[in-house]
Amino acid sequence: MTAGVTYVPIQSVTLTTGSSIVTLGSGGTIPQTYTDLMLVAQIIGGGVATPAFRVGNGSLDTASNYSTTILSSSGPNSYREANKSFCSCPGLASGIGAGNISTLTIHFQNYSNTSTYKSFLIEGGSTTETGANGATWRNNASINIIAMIDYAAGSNNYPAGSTFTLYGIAAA
Amino acid sequence: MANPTYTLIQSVTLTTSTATVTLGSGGTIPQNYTDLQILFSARTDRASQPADDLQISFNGSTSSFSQIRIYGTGSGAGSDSNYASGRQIGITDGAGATSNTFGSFSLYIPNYAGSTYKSFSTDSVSENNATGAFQELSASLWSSISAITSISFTSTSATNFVAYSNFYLYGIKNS
Repeated sequence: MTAGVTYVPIQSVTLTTGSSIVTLGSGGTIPQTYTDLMLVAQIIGGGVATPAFRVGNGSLDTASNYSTTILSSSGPNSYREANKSFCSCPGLASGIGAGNISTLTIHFQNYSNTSTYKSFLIEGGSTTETGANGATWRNNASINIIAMIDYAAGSNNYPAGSTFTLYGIAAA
Repeated sequence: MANPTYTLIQSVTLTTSTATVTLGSGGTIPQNYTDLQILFSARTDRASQPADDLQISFNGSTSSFSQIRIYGTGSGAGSDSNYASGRQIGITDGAGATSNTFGSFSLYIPNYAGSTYKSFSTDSVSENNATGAFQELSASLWSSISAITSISFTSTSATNFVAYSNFYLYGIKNS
């Protein structure tokens, strides 16, 4: 039996100017035909210190419906961020230059179902912080829009040259 | 609709003990993908030890690497940076681990063919039916603008990868 198409690039963004938000599936256009989503980001240093993301259906959910459990090389430490308006990711230290680059992979499991809360796995980081985060969005809605934002409420930009690619992964 | 991606570029299964495993030997990694991912299952002959540290080099270069990691030992956890001159990328089984077990490893390199510095992240575990089983997450940077054309793995303790260790290199396109 021939397997179905999987690991399909849905959208790719390379910033040509700095931006405090990078939206994938703007307007709620992420296809609902895959099993999982995977977002790969390479973030140039010198801007956002701690990347974060929001998800939504039609529009981004900015309410305090996110919780993230964090395992960080900083310390090392493990802690939880409950009832936040975003999920945070391993980051880049403030003030470091463009020569330091962060790699992030974010997995969105079973993103299109409409009966359960959504869970995420975030891995990667930069040479200033690495770790693995598990996160939950407390909403049963399917996810059709995702945005990378700045943990510090938009005060810093994702620098030009940063790349973001969203893949669809089919189980069958 | 975009074309499917995630293509197997090369696989290596060892039939004899080998000190260095190189993917894209001679600089033959194709440059027409966006990202690379390497998955492998490996074990070394490091005597009496349940685990062994692994190092990486790109294009034969062992310089300009930096790294930070967080790890667990089965009985504790820690973090450090620039271990093994920044080339430390993870952990796998040594000869002291439970017989016939192999460590699992994942390495992701975005924009490997570009002209910026190369960042990459790894996720690895050793397998051992005992307390001394290890996990490690790392984020690394190769401060070179050269495209990556070959990738080599060695153990920090200068041991050999044993037979049946296998390595898979995948190319991933973003369009």
